[in-house]
Amino acid sequence: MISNVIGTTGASMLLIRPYIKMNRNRIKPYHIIFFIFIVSNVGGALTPIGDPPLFLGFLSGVPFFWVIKNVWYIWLPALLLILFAFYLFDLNNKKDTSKGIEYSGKIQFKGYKNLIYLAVIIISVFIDPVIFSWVPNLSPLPFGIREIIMFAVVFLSYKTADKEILKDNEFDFEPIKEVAYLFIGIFATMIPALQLIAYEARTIGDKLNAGVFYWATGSLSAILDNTPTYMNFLSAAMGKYGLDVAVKTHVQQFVLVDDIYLKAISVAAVFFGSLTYIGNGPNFMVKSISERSGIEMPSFFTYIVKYSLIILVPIFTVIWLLFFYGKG
Amino acid sequence: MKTIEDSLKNNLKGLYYGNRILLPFNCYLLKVIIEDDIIMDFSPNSKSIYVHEEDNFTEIYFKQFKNIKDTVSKYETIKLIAVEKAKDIFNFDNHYKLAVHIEEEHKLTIEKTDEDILFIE
Repeated sequence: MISNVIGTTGASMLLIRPYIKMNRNRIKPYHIIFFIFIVSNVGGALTPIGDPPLFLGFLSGVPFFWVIKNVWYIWLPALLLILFAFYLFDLNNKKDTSKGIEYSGKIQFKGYKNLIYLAVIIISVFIDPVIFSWVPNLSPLPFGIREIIMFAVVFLSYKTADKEILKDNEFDFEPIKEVAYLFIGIFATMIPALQLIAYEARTIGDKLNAGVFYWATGSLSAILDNTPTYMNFLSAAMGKYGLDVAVKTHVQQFVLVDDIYLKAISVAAVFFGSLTYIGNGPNFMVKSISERSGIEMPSFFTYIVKYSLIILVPIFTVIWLLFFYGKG
Repeated sequence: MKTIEDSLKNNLKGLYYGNRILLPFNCYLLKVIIEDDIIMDFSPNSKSIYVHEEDNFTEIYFKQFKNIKDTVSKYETIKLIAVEKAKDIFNFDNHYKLAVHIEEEHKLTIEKTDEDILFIE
């Protein structure tokens, strides 16, 4: 739920440490992997703040509450199935959790002032010339007012942070740097792949059904970035009705005409990001923080073979059969 | 031979130079975490680490890093699981979880990890 309010990245960073601490006497890699599945990805499918592709959909004209109204009944069974798989894994973890731990029964929250910063960040997400006409457009600069506010908040937050808390959290820029380097690489190399997707989507888009949109958006979101993948497939789906994704009223019209494609693209773009470490930004950050705590995380391919293919692919297949098979 | 317990009690500082740290005690090492590297191979062929012991200290070379100071930030720690020499290594109660903080002038502060530092054995 928190992923939908502060985004999957925010929720992951906020919750990973308490989650590891709560499970510290029995923690195994599967705990972290299910955290990535749920908090860093699938959980955030309900609002445009949850995951970037949904936000871009919102900027393009998809109503803010469309996602929660139309996706919750897909989100809920997916989440319950993943939680059930987690429960089965956890049943075999018989380690005694009570040994050597005395619980105070208190929940302590340090650094309240950061809630203000967090609120500013969330509000600033909407400060966009596309949403509010009074927001100045700084084009041709590669950033806008929103980015300036966000960087200012980041700077203030870091400068005024309690040094003891930073030390206890072992704060470091390395995880975000790691993700930044990785995604610079992904963005630089995915352009030809995206152009190919855009071309194919334009040429054969009208022959594709919702199931194909679901699997194609999903599988490509797992290895490329899910935001441009979402936009390309949204463009292709709209092309079936002669609508243009660049025109806001067309997007609003598309939502009203037939939203099965938008549902398929939206859930696939968010859900399938959990298939690989590179599927979504927070995946790698959670992995990095866990390793710094001494948890041996599986390698890139072990993650896919031992967890994604065995747990997620069957669940995503069930979702496809229930909601998208033979539709569109 | 210096013990971990004495070093902690007397708040003895360690040292670091480049990719080498010097711990003011002798010990068996079981696990070392630096950045996101979890090192458990202490064999002579290890690609990550080389451990050398003298009478009163232990020196560790982190082969994959040029300079510890550039690798570990002021808020981060190097974490060790170590056991006193001559103590039963198989008894988990003898495992010390230590956090090593990098400070100015080549000094290292060594402390038992407290509740707040995340460290999974």
